[in-house]
Amino acid sequence: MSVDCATAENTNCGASASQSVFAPWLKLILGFALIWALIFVGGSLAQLLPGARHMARVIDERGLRATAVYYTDFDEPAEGSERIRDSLDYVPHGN
Amino acid sequence: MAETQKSQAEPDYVVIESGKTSLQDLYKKEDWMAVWMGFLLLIVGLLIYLPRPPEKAAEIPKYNAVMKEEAAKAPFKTIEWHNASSSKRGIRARDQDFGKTIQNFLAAPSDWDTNPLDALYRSEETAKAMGAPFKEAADKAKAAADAALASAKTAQAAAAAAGFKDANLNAAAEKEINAWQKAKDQASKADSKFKVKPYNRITYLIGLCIILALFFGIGKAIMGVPFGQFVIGFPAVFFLAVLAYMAETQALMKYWGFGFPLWAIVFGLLISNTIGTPKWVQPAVCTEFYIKTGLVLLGAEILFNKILAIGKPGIFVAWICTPITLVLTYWFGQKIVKMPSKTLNITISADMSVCGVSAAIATAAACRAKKEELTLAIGLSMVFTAICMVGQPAFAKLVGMPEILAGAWMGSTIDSTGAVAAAGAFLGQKALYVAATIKMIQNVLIGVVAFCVAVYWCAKVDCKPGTSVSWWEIWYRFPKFVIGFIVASIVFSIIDQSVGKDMSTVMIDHGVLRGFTRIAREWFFALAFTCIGLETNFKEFGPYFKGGKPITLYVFGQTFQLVFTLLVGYIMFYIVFPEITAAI
Repeated sequence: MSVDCATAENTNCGASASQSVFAPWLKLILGFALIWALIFVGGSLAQLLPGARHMARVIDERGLRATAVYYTDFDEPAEGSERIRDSLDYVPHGN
Repeated sequence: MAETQKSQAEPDYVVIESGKTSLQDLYKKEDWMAVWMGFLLLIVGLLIYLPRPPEKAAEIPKYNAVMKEEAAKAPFKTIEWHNASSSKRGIRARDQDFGKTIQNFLAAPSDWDTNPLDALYRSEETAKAMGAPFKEAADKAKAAADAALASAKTAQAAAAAAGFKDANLNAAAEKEINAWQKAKDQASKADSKFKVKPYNRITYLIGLCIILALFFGIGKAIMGVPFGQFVIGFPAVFFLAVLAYMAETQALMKYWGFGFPLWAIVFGLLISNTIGTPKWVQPAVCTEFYIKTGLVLLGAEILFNKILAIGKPGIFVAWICTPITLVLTYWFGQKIVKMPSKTLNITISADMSVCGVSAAIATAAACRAKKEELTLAIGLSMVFTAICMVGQPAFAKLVGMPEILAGAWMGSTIDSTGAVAAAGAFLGQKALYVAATIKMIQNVLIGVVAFCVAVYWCAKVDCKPGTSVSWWEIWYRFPKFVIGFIVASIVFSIIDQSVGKDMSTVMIDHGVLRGFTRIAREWFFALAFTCIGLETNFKEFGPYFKGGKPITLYVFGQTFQLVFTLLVGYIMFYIVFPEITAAI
């Protein structure tokens, strides 16, 4: 699709060449702008979904990493399993 | 062109049998290099942590003795029992000074709200200003915890005076003690909000970039890739990985479970599909190398002793339901949905039934799925995770499901591990701990799934229908990094077993793994996903969405898993093993 400016009679050839140089960069900027909008506008709007605000508060209060991909990525699985282990190893049975 | 026509004419599962292997493979092939580099880091981690146990570790037997004594004294968990358990949990090798230094050096960008730079730098004054509004709440929570402790002590003393034989006094004491535990937990969370710490990640990130560039650059150089070219391109990949982490830690995004893998792919895609991945960056775009090295490190986190964490019901829920769902979903994908690609089918089936992104990475690497297939599986998983994370606890609350059953159900059915914890916390502390523990048990299944998929693909899928493949050929085709992954898992499971449960928690889980190799592994995955984006063209996704087959597969598998796991969870926790449920 490239245009040979040396043979082209169109006087706008220089302009279209510079446009084709800048177009990818414009797309990149637009892409980052869309991501920015998704984070701030989409993220805010999502808070309006039923239950979402409560979930956000729970995550904040406990400092949970809801994005963790494995059990070692945050403390709760370790804390939970250690508590459960003690509960099962030392079951209260007095009297 | 002729080559294209030929490849179109041949089914894509046919692998020409030309197995040859040599000693040079051990340092020339990426699979083996990933194994050695992963092992190197694991050995370094062991050498750093194992000779330096925290001084308090010597007190573990004392805490166990207290719990044993208290358990024999009263029919409920006494204040002393809880204090001993809590003190034991506070002993961690990574909390020592050298551990904190390592973690600071490897730390990803921190949380931020409106200014992205806050993710990288927080001054002393800003930290104080951020914490100040929470001082009153922290003081209030501490006073409430102190008051709850006083009430618990009074109630326990009354029960003790009756020799723990009065059921009413025992029940009252247990109630007060549980209220104190809850207040203590809230006070601890409030305190952490008040004590905001300053940081400067910029210098550490520059240092980390240099070290990772040298680490992977040397590995590449041994395999014959020019060291200079790799090192020049690496900072660009690293920068995008940092951006991905920053998108994950933004205040609004962190609620939705959209982690760095998704953002890394998005940023990479954005670059490659607009300005194109610059040529000088391309030598550092090594998706498989980063992923395989990360997977070897992940192998060490697969500790088989963890599957006993919640007793037999946990094994049934996580290790029986999950494989059944996986196999059934894969079968459904092949026979009913007629998925266009077996590798896409197994990657989606594994990520949906096992544990989301981490299972998708391991399975995709084991069956050599295409990068677009891995991306698609991860995208699906993250969208469904966001829905289930809010929907499942809301449903459980609506129908009045008991916390332990809800925790087990959500732990086994929500894909992402972090989202499982969030969904559990939505219902309460018990649900959170059961959900997180069930997920942990399920996480361990990744090792078995990856190994079985790798063997099945070599022996059955990648060969002509009706022909048998020799063992030598299976060995030749077998992805060698899976050997590193499995060996790391076996060796660390043996160490874990040999040092004992408590010391293993202190030295391995809260030492070598969480204090070093886990953080490195996460960086490697962030680099890998960035590279996937940098190598991928949007247009390549088109064929996979045809007919909405991946979504149909996912919805079927997830629906089956939701119903099946709820049924098995109820039977196991409330009919077969009710005594375990009562003890939890």
